[in-house]
Amino acid sequence: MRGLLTLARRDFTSYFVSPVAYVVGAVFLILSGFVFYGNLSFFLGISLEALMRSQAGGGFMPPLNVNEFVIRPFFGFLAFSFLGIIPMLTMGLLAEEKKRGTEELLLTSPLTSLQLVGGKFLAALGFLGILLFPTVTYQIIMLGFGNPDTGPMLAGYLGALLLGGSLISLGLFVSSLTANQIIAVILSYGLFLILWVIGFFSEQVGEAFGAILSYLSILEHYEDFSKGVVDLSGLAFFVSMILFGLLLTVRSIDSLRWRS
Amino acid sequence: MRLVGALPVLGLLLAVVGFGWSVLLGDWPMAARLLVAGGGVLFLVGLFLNLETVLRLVRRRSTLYGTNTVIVLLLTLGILFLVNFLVARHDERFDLTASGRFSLAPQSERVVRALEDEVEFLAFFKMREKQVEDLLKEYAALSPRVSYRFIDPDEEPSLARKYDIKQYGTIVIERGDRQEKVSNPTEEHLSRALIKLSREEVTTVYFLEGHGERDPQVPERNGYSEARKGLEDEQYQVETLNLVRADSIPIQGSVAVVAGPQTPPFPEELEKLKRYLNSGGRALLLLDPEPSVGLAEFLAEWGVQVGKDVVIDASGVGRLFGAGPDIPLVTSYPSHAITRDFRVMTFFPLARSVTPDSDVRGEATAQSLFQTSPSSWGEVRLENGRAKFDEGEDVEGPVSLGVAVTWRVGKEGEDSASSEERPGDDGSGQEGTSTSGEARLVVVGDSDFASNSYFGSQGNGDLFLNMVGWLAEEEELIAIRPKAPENRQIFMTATQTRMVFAFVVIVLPLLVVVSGLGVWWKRRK
Repeated sequence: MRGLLTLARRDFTSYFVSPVAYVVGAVFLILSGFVFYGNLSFFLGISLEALMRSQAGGGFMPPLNVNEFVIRPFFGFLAFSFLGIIPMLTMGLLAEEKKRGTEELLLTSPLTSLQLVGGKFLAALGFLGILLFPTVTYQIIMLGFGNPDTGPMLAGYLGALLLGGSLISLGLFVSSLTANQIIAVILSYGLFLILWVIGFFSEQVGEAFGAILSYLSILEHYEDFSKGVVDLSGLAFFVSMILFGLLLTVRSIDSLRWRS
Repeated sequence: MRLVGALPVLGLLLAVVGFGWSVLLGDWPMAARLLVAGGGVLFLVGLFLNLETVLRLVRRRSTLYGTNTVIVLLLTLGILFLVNFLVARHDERFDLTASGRFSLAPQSERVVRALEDEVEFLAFFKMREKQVEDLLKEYAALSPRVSYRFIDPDEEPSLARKYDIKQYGTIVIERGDRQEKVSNPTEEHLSRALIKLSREEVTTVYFLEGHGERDPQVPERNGYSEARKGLEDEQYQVETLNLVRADSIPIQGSVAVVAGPQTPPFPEELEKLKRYLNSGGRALLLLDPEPSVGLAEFLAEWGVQVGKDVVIDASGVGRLFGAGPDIPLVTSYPSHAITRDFRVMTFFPLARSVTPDSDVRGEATAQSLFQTSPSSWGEVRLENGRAKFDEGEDVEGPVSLGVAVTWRVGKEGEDSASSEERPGDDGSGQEGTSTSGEARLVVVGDSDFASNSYFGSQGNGDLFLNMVGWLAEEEELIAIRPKAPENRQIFMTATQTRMVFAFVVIVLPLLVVVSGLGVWWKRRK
């Protein structure tokens, strides 16, 4: 356990040394800032309009709820951005080691593969958390100027961390397969794309298989969290993904060690 | 040589493709079977031809390790799959929203959990509406037996036709070979439809007989065989009942119809009808102007005034359809459950006025169902086939032709506070009271409109069926109030908006860049 944490800390801090982290962080914040602001100003616009009309909407008109117009879409964007960012985060972790040759140190280290992988996973997840931290200011802003529902915020962040964790563990696995960073990135994007669209095919396909496919759709589960619904099967799904991804990575690292 | 080496791989590939194809289709077409079989054969042949290499491969440590890994992975996958499967079956959802927007009302939950068969929601929408999908998802999450599907009626016209979809936004709930259509997909309507669907008992419509009423078996123009067919299409059972011979009208799952009686009922029949209604019964009375059968007094107790008149419609609209002034037309409907989305015209040959009495005692609420045009009136005196509106004598238009009455009835044994006010209650209830606790009565001043000659015209048939449908609703009225629309608005001045923009898009990222530069600077040292 201690070895794992030490490694985690080492990798975590190494993130902050690499310029990639800052570029990724800045770009992410600019984009999410834009998205947040865009949704917010739109919502402000219709709020004003509704105030002027002051007419009760009936039927299907959604209530003027900041959660619905700003917060939920924000978490939706978050998922999308993770699909884009995480391969870049994870590609560094293992492929970089191989390239720099520090892999020798790693492979001969007394630490078990599990500790190695676990350490890197925690480091990446930690970094993701740091990345998300500034977005909490968005929520604070909304709390300052209105009364958004806080439940969905919590659920949203929980979902984001779980989703991020799942993508990280899969990204780690892909990264462990090759020393070439570019290939690692491309493969990761490919894998994530498949996971993303897998749910769409659930309707075209036979009954039982379709149910499986739609369960596998990470976006389906994530959507529940972004709505404010914490679903047991969603939790089980993400944890399973994380575990499976880590297992794959551990085996992959093991085989590397075998070969040397 | 290389080709031979590739054979087993090729064979395996083909087999996988074939298998995958069949899994995707959920079927085993011939081509897929050939692929799997052929691939399998190729694989084995390839193995055989490469036997030496294969043996060497198998003995290598890396292969052993590799196989070991694969087994471990498959095992793990299996366990994870099992765990997820079990969790999905016994799912729990925690709605963290303050208003519980994404959870269903307890009544809905009860219905869904009580379901014993597969139920599917078919949502015919042009585009997936988020709100509707959120709602359907909640139903589906409550039970593995519930599933939903969005269908674009334009892309699947055969399905749209199969379920007779007339407008976007209709949801069909299917259970086995039964279905319910919901045109307004709110939780209340969907749960009601579910309750209806999950009821095993069939509602029986009893056509009372013995006084020359319309006969649901008679196919001639004055018969009600079309009405009967319409009812049977909607899963109702149709029977006739003679109240002289029968002790009472069965209270559970029944609707009583008195269609155009020609002679007055016997006092005992009237008694039985009264008792039936006071036990939460549901009745439809269609009374023509001629001959008068003296039910006016009986109905007055329930707040229904049956006029001794003939409604004349002088608006001239009828003439476009070949209808004279003695066939009043109805084109607009006040809001009532029976006529809520009703847009079609109905007409009533030779009708009398039926008006709600605002003075009704007790807890009964009487409401007019539809009225004729303003240029019509209830003619009290028809002289030599000529009619003229006589102020003070005739009923001024628009004239109400139908009334719906509801009132709550206490459960058996209960002493409800207004028992003295309950019309005609003599205390000797019939077998039990209906589970709904509510009696309903619909009175219309004409029985021709639903007869065979007119049932299929315009909206007449639908109106009749809607009336019976409303009367048949046995379930406790689930008044599921829609979640109060939350007003969580944000108000900012223009300056504040600009500041937020600056902070969010410029300041925050800038901080990151600055700290990055800071770290870089420090490392240079």
